[in-house]
Amino acid sequence: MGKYRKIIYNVIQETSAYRLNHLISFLCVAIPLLAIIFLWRTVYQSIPSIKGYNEAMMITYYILSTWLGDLTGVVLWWEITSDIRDGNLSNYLLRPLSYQLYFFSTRLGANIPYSLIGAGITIIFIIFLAPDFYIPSNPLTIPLFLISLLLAMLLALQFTYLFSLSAFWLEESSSVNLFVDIFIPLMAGNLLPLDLFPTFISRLFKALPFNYLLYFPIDIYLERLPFSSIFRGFLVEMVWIAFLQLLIAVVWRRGIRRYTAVGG
Amino acid sequence: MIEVRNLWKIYRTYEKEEGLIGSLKALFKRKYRDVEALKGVSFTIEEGEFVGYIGPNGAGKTTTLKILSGILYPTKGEAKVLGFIPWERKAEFLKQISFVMGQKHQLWWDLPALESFLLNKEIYEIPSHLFYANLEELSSLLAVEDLLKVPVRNLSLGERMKMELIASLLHSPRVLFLDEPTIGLDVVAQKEIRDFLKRFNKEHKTTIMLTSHYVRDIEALCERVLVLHRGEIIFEGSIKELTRRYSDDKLLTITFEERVPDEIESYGRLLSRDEGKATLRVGRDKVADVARALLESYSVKDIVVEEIPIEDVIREIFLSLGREEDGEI
Ligand SMILES: Nc1ncnc2c1ncn2[C@@H]1O[C@H](COP(=O)(O)OP(=O)(O)OP(=O)(O)O)[C@@H](O)[C@H]1O
Ligand SMILES: [Mg+2]
Repeated sequence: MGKYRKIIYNVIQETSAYRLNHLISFLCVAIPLLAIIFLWRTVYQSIPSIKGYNEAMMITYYILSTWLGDLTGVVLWWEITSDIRDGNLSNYLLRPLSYQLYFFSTRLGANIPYSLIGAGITIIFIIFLAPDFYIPSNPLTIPLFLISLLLAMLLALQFTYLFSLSAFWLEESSSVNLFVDIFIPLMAGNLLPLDLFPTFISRLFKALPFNYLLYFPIDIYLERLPFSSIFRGFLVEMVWIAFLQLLIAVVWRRGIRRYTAVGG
Repeated sequence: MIEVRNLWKIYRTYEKEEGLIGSLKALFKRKYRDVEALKGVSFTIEEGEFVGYIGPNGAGKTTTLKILSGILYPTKGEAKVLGFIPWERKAEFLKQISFVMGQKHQLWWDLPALESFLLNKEIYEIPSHLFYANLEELSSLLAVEDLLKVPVRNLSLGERMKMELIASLLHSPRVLFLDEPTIGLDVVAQKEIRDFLKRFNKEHKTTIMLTSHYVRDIEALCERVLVLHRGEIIFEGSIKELTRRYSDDKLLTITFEERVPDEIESYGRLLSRDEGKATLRVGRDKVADVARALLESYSVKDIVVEEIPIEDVIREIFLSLGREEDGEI
């Protein structure tokens, strides 16, 4: 395990040079967030509640989704796709190292400073919008929320890894990219709480694993779920995680046979 | 130590179709081209041997090394390195080998080389005392002790190559694959790396397989060479045998008392001439006759007989192989 700790450490060191970039890119998402908050404020002037969300809950939903968006977001990780296409993967295959855990470590290393900055900015938002921010009343909510967050991060890493491995087969990934960048956030609840979609779509999205990335943790935080549903959610999510791990193993084993280690 | 039997590698490359219709068509029937990079390669390398693996561009050298180090699956055939099947990539196997590519790097670009070394210490689970002892030995042999804390991106090509070598040797591999480790380096750095490798192989009994297009590397380091051409081994033996097999000639340099006679060309292939000196290329078995004839007919100051420089022999071998393919011979 020491090796993966060292990788996280190296990445933090390497990316600390880009702290300002983090700050700026976070500001880039914070400004649209402000616009969304003002929009919902206007909406709530005429309605007290939408599908069980009052004004505070709705605003909290968007603040949390902005902060978590990166921590539990799925992306097509360019380092994996370029490692595969440019033959850099060889460097990892040569050493007694799991490429998946290597990737998880670098992702964590890159995410730790980023999410700390994100948390800082989130707190600033909360302070300025304090009356609107939802504070859970049950003391168990926060621990459950944190567990759901950890599971969501794991799930996000798995999806990111799995989609990025498509580079073994695809010369060019714009179709995968479209799915990952547009449809996953939609199904995860980044754009709208899933309950706001038409019933049929909302049911469908809640049956898919992507809702565990964002919608489910925020639902827990907002105390909209009874404990029984939370535990059932955890169980289903863990089954997904196990299933994805199997899928990853199969995809990796087939992909690596196609890998041609170009260059050198 | 290394056993290769009837190894084949066929690369399949898919042709890219233009435009949307093309990519839709490609979904159902993709056009491809097969490249036979290795066509039944077999050889054996013993423990502690330093073997040169040479051949013209595209012969399949890198492909072989990639298969033997486990990063590439062969199409068919068998290979055993240290008793392991390389492409299974067992941790026990990976801990005992290393593969250095002149054109690929494993070091973290933005961090000092030392950080990459420390990561390898963890990855290979090298005990601290061994790690620091190896680091000290390697960095002093390569004279880079002062550069360990400099970010890798600030190092020169030669310095970086030395760091790559260190990174690959810290775990004391028993088998080392080197793919053009001196490419792009100046003559001084080339020699430093050469000397280092020679010493390292002697002292640690590491089995080394080296490819290089610099004949000097091969000449200085390898007792035995394997010559690969278009995916097939066409020669196996010492460099001496290689030159003897492919070039039956010697070089005769004659210094005359007066100017070089005009009939000199009738004694052999004239390679160069100036005022009083000429160099002839003559068949090995005719050297004595030619020398005697010259001594009898002219007043000769000096005659020197030499082997043809290996560099020239190898160039000629590659050239003639190329020509055969093109049907010119
Ligand atoms: N990833 C790949 N995909 C398709 N063809 C490849 C690939 N890698 C190598 N080849 C082809 O296989 C053949 C052997 O290539 P290889 O790189 O092993 O040669 P080499 O002997 O190392 O040459 P060089 O001296 O130029 O490094 C070449 O014809 C090359 O075009
Ligand atoms: Mg090569």
